This record gives sequence, C-alpha cells and structure tokens, in this order.
Amino acid sequence: MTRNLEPPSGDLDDWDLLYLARGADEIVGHRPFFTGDVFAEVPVQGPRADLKTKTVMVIQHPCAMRPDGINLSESILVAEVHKFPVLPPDKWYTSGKLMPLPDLLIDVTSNRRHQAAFFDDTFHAHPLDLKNRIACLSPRGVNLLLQRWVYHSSRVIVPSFDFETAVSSVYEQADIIEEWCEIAMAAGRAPDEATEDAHAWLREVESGLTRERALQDPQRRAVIRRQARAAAPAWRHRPLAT
Amino acid sequence: MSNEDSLLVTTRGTASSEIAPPPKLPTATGSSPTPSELTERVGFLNNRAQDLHSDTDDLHLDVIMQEWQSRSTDLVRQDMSTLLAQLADLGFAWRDIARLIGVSVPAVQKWRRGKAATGQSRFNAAAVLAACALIADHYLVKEIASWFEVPVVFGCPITAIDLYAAKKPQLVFRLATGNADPEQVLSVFDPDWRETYRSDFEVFESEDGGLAIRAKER
Repeated sequence: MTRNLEPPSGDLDDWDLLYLARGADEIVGHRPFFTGDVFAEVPVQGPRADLKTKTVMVIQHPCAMRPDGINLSESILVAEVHKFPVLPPDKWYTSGKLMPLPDLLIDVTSNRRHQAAFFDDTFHAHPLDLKNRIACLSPRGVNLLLQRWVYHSSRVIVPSFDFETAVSSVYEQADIIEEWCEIAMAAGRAPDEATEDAHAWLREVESGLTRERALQDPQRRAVIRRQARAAAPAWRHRPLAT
Repeated sequence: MSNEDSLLVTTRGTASSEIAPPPKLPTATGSSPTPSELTERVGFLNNRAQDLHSDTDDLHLDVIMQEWQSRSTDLVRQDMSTLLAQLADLGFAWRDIARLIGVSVPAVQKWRRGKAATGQSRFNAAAVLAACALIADHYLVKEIASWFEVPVVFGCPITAIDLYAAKKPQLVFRLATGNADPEQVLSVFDPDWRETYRSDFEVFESEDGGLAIRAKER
C-alpha cells in the first residue's frame, strides 16, 4: 500500500479532530507544554536577524523537550505559524513543508482563522517566553504534525498510527499531570507543587515499574488514571534526604 | 438485520428451513444409509445448526440492544456531572469520554464545571455508561475502561472506543459477547484494515526507556 501524508480523517473536513483546546476559554494553564502547542507573542530571532515577535508552534518530540523527563529544555524548537488557506483533505498529501491548522483561531471569522506551521521558518525559544498558549493539539493532531515534520526533515513517511503507538503514553502523562494539578489545586496545593507531586507520583515504582513506564501498556492506563484521581488531593512528594 | 451484521455470519438461514425436517433420502439397503447419504444428512444437520446459531446470535444482539436502551433511559435521569464522574471513576481519559459521547474535550470540561448539557448529550453520556455496565455485568469484564481502550486485535490500533465513536455499538457488543471473531468484527468496521495498518516500521523501547520507531527487519 502506498503511504502518503495523511489527512485528519479520510475525506472528512472535520478540523476539530486536530485540536484538544483552542482559545482562552479552552486552554488549561497548568497543562504541561507538549508537541504541537501554539503560542502567540513569542520573541524569536533568526540567524543574523533582529528579534521579532511571532506566533509559533512547538515541533519537538515531547521527550526532546524534556531531556530529564521533567524539566523543559532551555531551548525549544518552534516553527512560525501564520495565515494559510484551508487544505482540503484530498490535498493533505501535498505541502510537506508545513502543518495545516485550519480553524485554529476559532474566534476569527476572516480567512485569518486558518493558519499553518511552516517548517522552513524555525526558531529556538526559551520556555519562559512561551507565555501565551493559544492552542493544544489532540493526539491525532500531534501524530499528523510528527508525520509531516519527520517527512520534511528526512523525506520518510511514517504511518501516523506508528506515532500513535510511540507517543500515546507521553500524551497520557500530560493528561494525567493536567488533571492531577486541577484536583490538587482545588485541594489547596500551589500549581508548581502540584506539578512536582504529579511527576514524582508518576515516577514512583509500583509492581516493579514506574507508573510512567507502565503507561506504555494501554491495558494499565485506566487503573493508573483512577489511582491518580484518588491520590491527587492529598499525595505529597517527599524528596529523599541527602 | 443490517448488511454489517450479516457480514459477521457466513451462513444465513430462513424460518422455513428452521422447521423443515431433514430430507428423507432413499437408502440402498432399506435400513443402513450409504456413506453418500450420511454425508448428505449430516451436512444438512450442520447447515441447520449454523442457521440456528446465527439466528440466536442475531436474537442475542437484539435483546442486548433493547437492554442497552432500557439502561440508558434509566441512567439519563442523572445529571451530567454525575454521569461524567461515574465514567471517570471507571478510569476513562476525559478525551476518550468526549469521543464516546461525540463532543469535544472542552465541552466535557464545561459540563464538569456545571454548564448545562443538551438532552441529547446527556442521553449519549448515559448510553456510554449503560454500555459499560451491561458489558461488565454480563461478560464479567472487570476493567471496562481498559477493555475499551486496548486494541481489538494485536498489531492493529483500532479499539472498542473507535468502534463506538464511529457509531457502531453493535460491533462493540458483538465483541463483548465473545461470539464474534475479533478479526471479522474489524473487517466489518474497515474491510481494508489489514492493509491499512500494515507498516514497515515498528515501535521499540529505546535505551532511555522511552518508545521509539525504527524500520522493521526484512
């Protein structure tokens, strides 16, 4: 079977499938940064160019963003996002230099509503400059972004379902951390403490495996989610005494 | 019965064939059937058994669908946040709950914060919960959310969540009963699934413990 760059869902133009959240009403501030997040007003600088403010998308693999698995790298690879016409589903096999983002700006009614991330215009951004998140991709969106970015970088087309298998456990971690923070913060924990607790809990060993690693097995995810929901209100990270 | 359902059953029967007696075949000696006659008779009985099996299969699915409807109608009396909390207690991810109900994740988050849902959305949430309860009760599935999110067939990423989200609950119930071959169920859902999900790549655990992708060995 010939493999091409894939559209979101066959011949359907259901662009909502690409996104987890768009706009201030939908974005959750304490969700960990993830591949495909779009940020506005980010100061970036090209080689031999002046500092400019742009809308950008994180295009790095989630593991590359966090070299130690927890803390963000000081240099995050991003691609510029700007206006681009809607690419019909039967044309997604083209335009390998970009990730189409139709309906990205849901509050905009003009053609500016439709954007794309351009892989030829990349920058490195400091995480502290990524303050204004305006969109997060869904798992499907992340898989398609990685497929296109890998194709652009190496001229290899990897089926999106292989990315799904490889990335879904990391996406799962981001979901769990987001929900953990929501629950812990409602119980009075500060956002940074809640995030630290969530990471520590995921790295705790249970039945010979960290929960983080256990999430690689889809069969164990439901149990870990349930445990996280139960633990989040009161569980506290206790660093080992040195 | 829909075309999709009929694809799950290779041999179909009719009501008249159900009640027709096996053919009385002439015997060569008057009492002992010849090998050829035996083949005919047993073959006929086998066909009848298969017809009966497929008909009871259909009947089974019909009553499951009725029970599902009835359970859904009972559950829809609960408010949306209660329904969502029960689905979360089963261990589902919010994004999967959203897919099963047929809405976006932000819509589910708004309902969790108390925003009103439409009657149809509440019914859809109740229907998901009812399907889980029905499958767990009748088919002794202990971790129902895990059952829903694990691939139907090893090596193919399609899950029961995908089947349900594509509005094919009958395929989910067929799977749950254990009476249908999972590969046949997938073939009904996507006749090309073997080809669609064949890959030259494989996912492996890399040295840092994370998952990575490499080309398969030829």
